[in-house]
Amino acid sequence: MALRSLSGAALALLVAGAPALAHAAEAPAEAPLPCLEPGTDPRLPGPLPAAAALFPGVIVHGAGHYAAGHDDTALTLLWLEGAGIASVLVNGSVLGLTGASRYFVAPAALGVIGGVGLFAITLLADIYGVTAPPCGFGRPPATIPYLEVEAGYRGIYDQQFAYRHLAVLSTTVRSGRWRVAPSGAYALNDANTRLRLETGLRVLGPLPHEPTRRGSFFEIDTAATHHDFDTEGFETTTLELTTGGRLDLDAIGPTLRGAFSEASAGVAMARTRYDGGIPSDTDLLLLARFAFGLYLGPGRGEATLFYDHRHDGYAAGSIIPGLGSGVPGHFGVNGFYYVTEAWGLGAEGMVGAATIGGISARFRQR
Amino acid sequence: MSGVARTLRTALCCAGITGATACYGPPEDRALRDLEVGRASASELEIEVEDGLAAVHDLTEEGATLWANAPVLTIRFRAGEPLPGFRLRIDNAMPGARFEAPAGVPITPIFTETPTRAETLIDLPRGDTRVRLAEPDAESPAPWRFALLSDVQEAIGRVQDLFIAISQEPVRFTLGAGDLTERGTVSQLRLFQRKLEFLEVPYYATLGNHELGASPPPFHDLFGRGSSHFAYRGVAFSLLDSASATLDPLVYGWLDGWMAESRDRLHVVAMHIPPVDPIGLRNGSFASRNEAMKLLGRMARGGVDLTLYGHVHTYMSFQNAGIEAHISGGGGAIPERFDGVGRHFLVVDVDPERGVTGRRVVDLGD
Repeated sequence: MALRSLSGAALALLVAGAPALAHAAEAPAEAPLPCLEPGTDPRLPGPLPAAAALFPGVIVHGAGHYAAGHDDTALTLLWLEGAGIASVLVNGSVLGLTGASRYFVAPAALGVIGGVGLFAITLLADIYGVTAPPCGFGRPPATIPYLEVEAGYRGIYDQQFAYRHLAVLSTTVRSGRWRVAPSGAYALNDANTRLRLETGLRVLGPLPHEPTRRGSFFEIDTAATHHDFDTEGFETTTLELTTGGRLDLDAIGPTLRGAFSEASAGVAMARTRYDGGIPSDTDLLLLARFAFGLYLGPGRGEATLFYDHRHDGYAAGSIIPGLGSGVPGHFGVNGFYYVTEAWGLGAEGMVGAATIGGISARFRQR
Repeated sequence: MSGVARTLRTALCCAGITGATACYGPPEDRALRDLEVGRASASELEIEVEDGLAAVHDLTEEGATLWANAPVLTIRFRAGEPLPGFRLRIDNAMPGARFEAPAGVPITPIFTETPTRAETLIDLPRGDTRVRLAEPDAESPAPWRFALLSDVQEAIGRVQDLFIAISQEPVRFTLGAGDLTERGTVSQLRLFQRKLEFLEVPYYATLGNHELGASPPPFHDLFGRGSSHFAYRGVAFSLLDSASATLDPLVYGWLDGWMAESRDRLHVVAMHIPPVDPIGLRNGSFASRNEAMKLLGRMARGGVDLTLYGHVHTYMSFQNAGIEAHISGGGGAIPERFDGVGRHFLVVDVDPERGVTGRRVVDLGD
């Protein structure tokens, strides 16, 4: 039921770009997509489109593209914004009318999150499309890595816990359609460790060793996480199933080349074991995430702004006052850039119950 | 919170990236306000309610009006000069409670028709005077009964039928686990206090997220501390301010002390937002699962026997970290549909020797 709702709302962008996404799976190895060459760009010069993207674009998404003469893209963004608002209203009404009934809350919450995601992504896409260079800031890698390793540091402030410094290490290995990604975070000043193993099945999208010109993909993922709060005397083991993907936004319009959106949703089951013979607890978590991102350089990197509905992990949910207390997840930005073919840097910042920031060294093999 | 983290959080908030607490005032501010509850001064007269268990509504050299948030109060006066005929009025007091003053300090009880109002004239001498308000059987170890009523919100106009129903039960007092009103404004909170005239026993409350509509929340001025602790007839009660889906570290410190001093007693903890919503996909709970589990483990190890929550507009009975738990949000706010529970309150039987001996939901229907 939850997945059905997601496909109806949160992944509307993916749905809108489904032909492009399907094409991505079979795209022959070709040169990068052509840019809008000088003289062929119908965009109006000057600051008007960018100003229109901010106002009235903050309300009427696509206003920037309309001012720039890209009527089709403008209309698509406006429709998607409308779909997002409709999803928020419909699913918000379901939540309100049912009093967040246990029988409806998961699909309705996903509908709200998906609607907010559509609203945010179309707003950012409109601004991006009228301010980015004709080719964007980059493009997807010509082949995706079969091996990626990341090692870094995260500074963290969570007023409820003593840890302030984390060492993080992760590896991603891809073979055919499968992805395996073990990772770990180790507190340097506290007894706290988080170990995670992700596995993914790429249903659509580029695979290792296969040249591509697109970054769009669709995956089904599972993960097992063990988070040990030794200082506080408990540990949580979480199993999760998610599905989601990425859509290169040039599927919507040529001005959006170099930008992408992501959406995913799923469910997790967590079991918490306490020290001292205290009975364990088991509960469920709703998982949902949406993001807007940019490719950087010729397959060199990415930058992503995202919302993640997770209430566990180091960032957890946002602490806000008032009616929405406890409901929102966390927000963040992350990115990486390969300075050479194999070596690069990554950075990440998140704000939820905790504030997190840090950098990583990255290595890849393609 | 460290300066850097607070600055980062504020910056992100102001940039609209997240609705972090920095925008509105964090739970820490409310915890600090707790420390000021029960203290006031007027000219050469100072008043201090021990443990902040009453809010001082009015203080002049002619008299004082307090709102009790616990069954037994100890009030310390410090007068710069003798104040004969000082009129002391305590609202929300236990029916039958009597004033006790040191030998040689004349007190003259005043009859009131409101069962939860205690009033007296005291000839306050110069210097310090301690006045106690308690029922004659406040230390009795005999079994007794209390009620729990939370989440009235917009149903404040018809809450009197619940108050009348509670008054028909042989309960000593009613606990309120937050969301007394819709927005927590002065006028709404005063209206709730006027409605309490229909309730023949006092109502001791903490605040909920719906009390955070005004900044700073007037709850502390009108009802008292958000986090407080008292013992009555062999049972310890800790009311915690979880209105922002978290507990401030100050409150954790207080809770540790309260658990230590209540180790040999039946200990009841009540708060508005539960650490964990039994319907995990809804997450009507703490923003951070990590913090939720930390709190639950701490309460279990600290000997807490019973946890009572509001926030979710239904009734659910469960266990968290092996502690008996009840969510009772049946005060009339938009109900959870299809749960088979209407407007209700919970009646709890306690025996200082045997623990919690009974729980009963009184359902008034829709």
